[in-house]
Amino acid sequence: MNINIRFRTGEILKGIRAGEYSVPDGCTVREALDAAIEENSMELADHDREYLFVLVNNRLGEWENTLKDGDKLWILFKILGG
Amino acid sequence: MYGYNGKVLLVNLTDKSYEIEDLPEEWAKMYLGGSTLGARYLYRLMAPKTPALAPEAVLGMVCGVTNGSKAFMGTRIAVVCKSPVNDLWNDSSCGGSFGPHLRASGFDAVFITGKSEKPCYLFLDDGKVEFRDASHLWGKVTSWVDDTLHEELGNDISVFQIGPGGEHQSWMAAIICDKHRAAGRGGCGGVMGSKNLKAVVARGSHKIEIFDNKEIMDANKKCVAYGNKGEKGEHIMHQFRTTGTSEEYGICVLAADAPLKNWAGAPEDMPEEYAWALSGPEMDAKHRVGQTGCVGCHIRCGAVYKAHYKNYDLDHATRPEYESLGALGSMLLNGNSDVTIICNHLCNEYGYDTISCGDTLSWLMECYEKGVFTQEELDGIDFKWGDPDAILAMMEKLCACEGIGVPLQLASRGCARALGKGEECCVTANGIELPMHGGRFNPALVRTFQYDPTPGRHIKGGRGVPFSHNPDEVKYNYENTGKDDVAGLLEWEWSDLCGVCSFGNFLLPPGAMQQMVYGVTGFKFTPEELHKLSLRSFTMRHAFNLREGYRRKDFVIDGRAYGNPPMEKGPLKGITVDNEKLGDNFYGELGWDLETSEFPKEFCEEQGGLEYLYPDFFPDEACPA
Ligand code: SF4
Repeated sequence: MNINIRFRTGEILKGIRAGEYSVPDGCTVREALDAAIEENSMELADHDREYLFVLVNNRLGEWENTLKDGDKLWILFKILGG
Repeated sequence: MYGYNGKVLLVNLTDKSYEIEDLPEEWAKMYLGGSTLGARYLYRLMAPKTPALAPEAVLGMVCGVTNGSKAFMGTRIAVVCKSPVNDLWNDSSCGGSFGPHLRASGFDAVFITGKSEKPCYLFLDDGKVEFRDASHLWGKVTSWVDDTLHEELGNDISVFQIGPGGEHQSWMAAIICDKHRAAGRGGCGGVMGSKNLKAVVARGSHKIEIFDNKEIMDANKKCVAYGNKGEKGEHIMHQFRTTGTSEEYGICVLAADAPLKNWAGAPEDMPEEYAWALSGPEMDAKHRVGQTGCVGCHIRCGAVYKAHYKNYDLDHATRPEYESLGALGSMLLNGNSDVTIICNHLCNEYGYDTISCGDTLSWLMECYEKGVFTQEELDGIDFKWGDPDAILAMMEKLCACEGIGVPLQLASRGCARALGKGEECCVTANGIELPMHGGRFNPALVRTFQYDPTPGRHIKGGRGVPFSHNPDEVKYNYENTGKDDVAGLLEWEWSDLCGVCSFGNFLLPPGAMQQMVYGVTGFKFTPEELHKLSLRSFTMRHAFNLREGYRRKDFVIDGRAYGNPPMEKGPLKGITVDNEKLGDNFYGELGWDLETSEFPKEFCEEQGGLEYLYPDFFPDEACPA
């Protein structure tokens, strides 16, 4: 299935491609992100992952949410309060 | 006494007199500084029921513990007074150079009452106190006043001043330091203006005696190391060093944390590119000409910006903070970065709080859209959502205090009440406009907004903004929230009385502030003592309001802020926060009366340092002197 991933993550995953990714059916947000990271030959340390959160189709999502074809993800830098 | 001058200045502007009091050592240890020490003094100095803008009202400026030391980020000073918006306790804090300069002038705090017959400024010069004529400064913008006083008095001063907004006694007037740092909230600038006090200027060479400088240096070193690669603070510190709080703006709009359209809008109401146009990286690429920051800060999170729009050509404005971007951006559906920077600059120049200002304009836009106000009533301005010309024109009316700009000085609820219409569109907590992290996205904040003794603040304690990242079933669960809510009071009460920048709560490693305070004063606190300190501080501010006659039912928040009625679209559709349950849990955890929010004597005895409240709250029981 295809999902769309966009990023706003500061220095983390800087330069990663935004757009359509082909991922296995029924994969989770975490697996989709990992697939994107792998495709871009990048790495994401656990320590860095803690800085991130996700919107699934514009709603706050969780890493273990199951995705469906056409879903849109935003991977974002966590809001700490400015 | 380490860390303090041990001197508190009490000024009366009516007869131009002053007294210098010794700061009792037990007060220093019990209340430390900032708004907590301020609460102790204000309770003593200000008679109950004194109107906020009466000459007898008291305005305090109180150093935080680290002010005047070498501790990183230790410049935050608290302003305390009664708010003209709601006649409740008010505190607002400010970074920049004034805190350290006030300490160097020989005082730990200054409390000002009375009213000068003519505009004046107070010059605290190395232990000396002078009342000076300010007629040449009155009516002038803050950058001009700052430059003029530096020319007249030398470069080694710090100016804490009001702009024309404060002179008009606006309920959203700020007190400005270093031209762009603001103690903005609650109308403290209006209180200063009501006293005909244009500025407090401080200079001096007093060096406080430090308990152990090595401890401070060690804490500083850890603060720097916290941002090293692989450390917990790496990314957040990098963010603050580059784009500051503005990095969050687009993300918060997208996630529906930042409010849109006077809290009635959803992200889809505004083009996505508007959200990014006001976000750190995009703004920096277009406007940045330099970096800036508070003295003694290893991060320096500010930036100098240029902006150009019509007849405005700024080359030395500052980058708006996240809160200002939300209030002057998404709240108005404004995607024009130049205009946002200019409005932010006007707030600094004329001395207005950006949050209340943006929220008030947003309220007015909704009123206009709904026909509550006609174009004619708005001085011919076609005040439509997102129109940069209209936004700028209305800002100019406000700053000039002319036409509709006159009632606007009273902020949204005050203006609605003065004009007798539009109150149904107000979104405030006790009349104070709300900051830019929404309660429907982060329900934990609703309790803080509604029931903190200083309502409508995002930098007051509770479960905080990061709680919003929890899954829905956790964050919208209203059972058993009290324990975490009460525990969460600590970080904000603590950073405030420490005098450390609020961002220290996530930019400094755990324990750094305690080590700094220990280095400065020699005071060491166990975790239990720290917890008591936070409860004491909260209680002292709350007691001020109780003495005024306010009880729980008087702490109100407008429905839209917590989803009553709920949104009909967008990511927050259908959400209504159970604010009363959150309040019950909070007061229940404290052991306070759920109906009145009064505290029992045993609670006070447990925290200590609250004995001064007994005569007012437990008069039939033994009263200490
Ligand atoms: S982080 Fe920013 S606001 Fe805080 S002390 Fe440093 S420069 Fe000032």
